[in-house]
Amino acid sequence: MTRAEIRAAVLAMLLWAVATVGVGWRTLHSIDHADRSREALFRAHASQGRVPSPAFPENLDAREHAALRQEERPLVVHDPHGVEIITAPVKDTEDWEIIGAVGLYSRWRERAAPVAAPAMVALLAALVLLLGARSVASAGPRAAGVGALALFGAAAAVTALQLRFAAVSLAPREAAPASLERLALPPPSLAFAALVLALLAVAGALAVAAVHWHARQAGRRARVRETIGAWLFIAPSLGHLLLFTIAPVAFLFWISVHNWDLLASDHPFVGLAHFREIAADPLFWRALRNGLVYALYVPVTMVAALAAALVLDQPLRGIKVLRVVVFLPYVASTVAIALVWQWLLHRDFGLLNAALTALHLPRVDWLGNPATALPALMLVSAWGQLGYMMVVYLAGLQAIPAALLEAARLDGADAWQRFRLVVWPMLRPVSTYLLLTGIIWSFHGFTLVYVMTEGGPSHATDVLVYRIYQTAWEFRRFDVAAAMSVVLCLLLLVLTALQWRTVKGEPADA
Amino acid sequence: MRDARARRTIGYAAAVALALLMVAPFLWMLSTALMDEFEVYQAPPPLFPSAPRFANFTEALTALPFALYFRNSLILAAATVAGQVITAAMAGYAFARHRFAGRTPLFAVYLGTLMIPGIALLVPRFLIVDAMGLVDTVAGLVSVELVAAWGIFLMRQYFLSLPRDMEDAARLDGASEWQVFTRVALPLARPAIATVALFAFIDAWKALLWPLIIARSPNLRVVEAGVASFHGMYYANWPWQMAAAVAALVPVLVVFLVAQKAFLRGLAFGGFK
Repeated sequence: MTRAEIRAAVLAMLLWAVATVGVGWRTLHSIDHADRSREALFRAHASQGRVPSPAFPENLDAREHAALRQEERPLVVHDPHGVEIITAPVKDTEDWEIIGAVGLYSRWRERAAPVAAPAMVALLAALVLLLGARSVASAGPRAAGVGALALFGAAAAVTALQLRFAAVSLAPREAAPASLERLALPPPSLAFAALVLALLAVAGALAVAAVHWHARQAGRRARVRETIGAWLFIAPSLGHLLLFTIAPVAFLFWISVHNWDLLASDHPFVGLAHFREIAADPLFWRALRNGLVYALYVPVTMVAALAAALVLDQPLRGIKVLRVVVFLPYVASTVAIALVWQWLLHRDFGLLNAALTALHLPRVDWLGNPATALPALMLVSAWGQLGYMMVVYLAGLQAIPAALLEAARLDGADAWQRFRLVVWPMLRPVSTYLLLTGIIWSFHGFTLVYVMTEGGPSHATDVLVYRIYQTAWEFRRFDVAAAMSVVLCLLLLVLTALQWRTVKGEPADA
Repeated sequence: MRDARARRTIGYAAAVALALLMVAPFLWMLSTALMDEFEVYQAPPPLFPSAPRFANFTEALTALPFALYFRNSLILAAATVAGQVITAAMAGYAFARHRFAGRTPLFAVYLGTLMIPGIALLVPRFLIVDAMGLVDTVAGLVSVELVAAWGIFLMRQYFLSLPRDMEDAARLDGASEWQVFTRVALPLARPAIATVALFAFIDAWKALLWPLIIARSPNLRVVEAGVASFHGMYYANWPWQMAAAVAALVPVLVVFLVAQKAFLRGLAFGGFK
């Protein structure tokens, strides 16, 4: 790129940014005025001292009505003309019982088209500035037309989506009839606007880059076709990864520093307050410590697995059957495993305690005693992983060149020396890999805790994932749960980075 | 020589012991599932039912609407398998076979997503699905696991290991890119597809946490969640619980036993799983 082109590109980006900010602000602001007449109706009701009982009973079928009453969340329904209405439950003054519903015509479709137009103009302007009129012209009128159309479509789609989400998220969630003022929509959240604008800007930048690239490829049609084809092949997975993996990472960090109350529509920035809260929460530290202790089952199981692999490292007939059998716990339903082990560990009638009694040992209340509950879960996990680890070790052992062991034997090394000086160093990569993968996996464990102990007794088996689950879905503190998730995420990222460093290169070749 | 024989004997003994250790809890599950409700309450407990009581299965599986749960689990598993196989085959093929603008940075992005622990993304994923209005719907239930990055890498590696001659020959015969992919490349990649499908099925069947948070109504429960809540309701009836557990095990065990070759191939591929 020449300097002129760079200057043009910077200018185009600035223009683009200004245009999108304008567009975004305009659309979000227009939501603020959604359906004043509806609001007036409620005001009239309220002034007569009447409760604005279900606003749209006629528009809700029985199932929707029930859902609305149960769920206490906005619900999208359609009026007889097929126009979308966002409804929200109305609670009584004590914020206790749901006494009705309010509806808002969101009208996002009608609003999308007019605001998409300026977005397109901005895009076209950016395009011309970036590429120079000459190269746009050289791309051919058809390419330019298709490009413009695609850009307009993209701008319209993004704007429509944005309006849809804005309408849903802005619907009043706790409008108490006593103070109908709250029916007025809150101002759009700045952070939400920023997010949408950032998405728009990224999409625009990508579109501009794509058109720029296309113009440069003039005369190389095969390459252009292959690129378009390949991107189409990748589009489904990329779309999913963006929506369910990449966006959630950014969103996670965002939530962790904001207030997120399901019932409130604004999410003020609170800085590190949630992190301070979990840092002061002994249960969080308990869960973290439990998780670290729990992870200890990994090295212990590895030792047992290595011992088993050493014994079995010879051409035994029927070893294939064994290989299938040891994977049973690995593939089996975890809830089923949790149940049978809970039964095995039963204090009065469990087989394990029956065996202890037979050996004249005292019974143990495995899952009921805070001192033994976590070790009991570790035992179950070790049982589940032993076979897998053994098979991996077996493969590692069989990959050691026989000549190496033979040479060691000729040099007079005894069995222990051969193990310590040849086998163990050769297995080092396998061991590191198993250790890190196992520890990473141990932090994913949820089912055993959920089914067998529910984190108890007295939080002895409370692990981070369970804490997150409870905090978010039982206590409804999504923001605090997000802060915990950030900690978990960073912890696992460090472990994964270590794992990748030991594997070296692409993990696909591991 | 005697040393070798002794070692073999120890080896076999260890193998049998290990196999027993692995299988015993499953056998105990089955044995208890056939016992009478009060028969189990003895110390020491009987190892085998005095008279096998198969009614436990029908009673346990109708005490809660397990037919519905199995249907939901099957939908979840089928959607996960279909989604992961289709997207992995397509993206893996594109990465392996096409030279296109943006491939290197895109591949880096895909690699990067492998590092991100999905377990930490529960909250934002749930809120995103909630914003889309998909909480408590089948679409929301299946949504998050439709694409697996590791499957894309497996497919890519597999396509890289295949010769391109047949694809080129098809192109010379005038096949379109889509035809080359579906008629030539995909049939050759059947083993890799089987591996992706198998792991997708097992993972979907074992999934508990996401189905738990996404299904508010009992009608959307999967088998794992159903058995877990069954456990809470019939806490004292161990034969029923074991019967439900056995029922939950059967589909995934059958699939595993039928497709264990694909399973071992997947393990050899690496430890994303």
